[in-house]
Amino acid sequence: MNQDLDTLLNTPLAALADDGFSSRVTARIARRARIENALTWGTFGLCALVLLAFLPIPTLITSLVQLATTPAVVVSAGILALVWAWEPRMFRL
Amino acid sequence: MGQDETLALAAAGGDAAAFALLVRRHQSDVRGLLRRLTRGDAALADDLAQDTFLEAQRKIGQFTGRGRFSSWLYAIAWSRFRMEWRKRRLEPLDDVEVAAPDAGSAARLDLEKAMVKLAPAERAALTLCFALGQSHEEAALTMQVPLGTLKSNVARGRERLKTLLAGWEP
Repeated sequence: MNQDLDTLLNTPLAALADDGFSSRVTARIARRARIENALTWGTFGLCALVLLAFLPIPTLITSLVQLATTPAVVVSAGILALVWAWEPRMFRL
Repeated sequence: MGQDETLALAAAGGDAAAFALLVRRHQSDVRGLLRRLTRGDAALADDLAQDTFLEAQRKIGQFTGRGRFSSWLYAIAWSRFRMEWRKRRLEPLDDVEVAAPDAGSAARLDLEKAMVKLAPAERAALTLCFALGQSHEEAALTMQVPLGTLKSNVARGRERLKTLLAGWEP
């Protein structure tokens, strides 16, 4: 009896025909990905619109231009450019 | 590393075709396991199997490739079943009409009928350890229970099956 039961239990589960099951799963995965994409880009677009509508863009541009022409920023940018240009040569020494 | 594990790692890297192949390779076993757990309710089992694969796809990045992919998948299926079972405690599973399983022989049909009488944890433990070929350690991990509990479920389930099947013998 024990052996019969073990043999019976060890029998693999009956193979089930796919019958479109896998296609339904992959279709649901694709639909979910489309919804997630739409939500991400929709949220991003909405945030961008709100920012564009309420940010004082001209004031920001004027401030950035003023900042870029200060001596501290000009000197720092120069040092960075020199290091970037000389770095490969220094490693060859 | 086996073919399933290689495919799973490819799927984790965004390869949709690799995941689709994994679904095709495992749909039969996952649906079969869930049919046993739901006592032959094919529609409910297929719904749970779909949810299992959707969850697996969402969490595929968490699969490390250290264990078997099938064990990882069965763990998700078992957890999905338990969630459904807890929900249905209000409307007991006894109300579910038990469909005749796709059995190839009278003995197998008897086994499926006897399985219905077991507790879900016993059915899961026996199916994982025998029909799906998991070791006791793997099945304990799949069901997220201590090894001792798993072994008790296997032993208790086996004893109950033996009694039930002996009672039906001519």
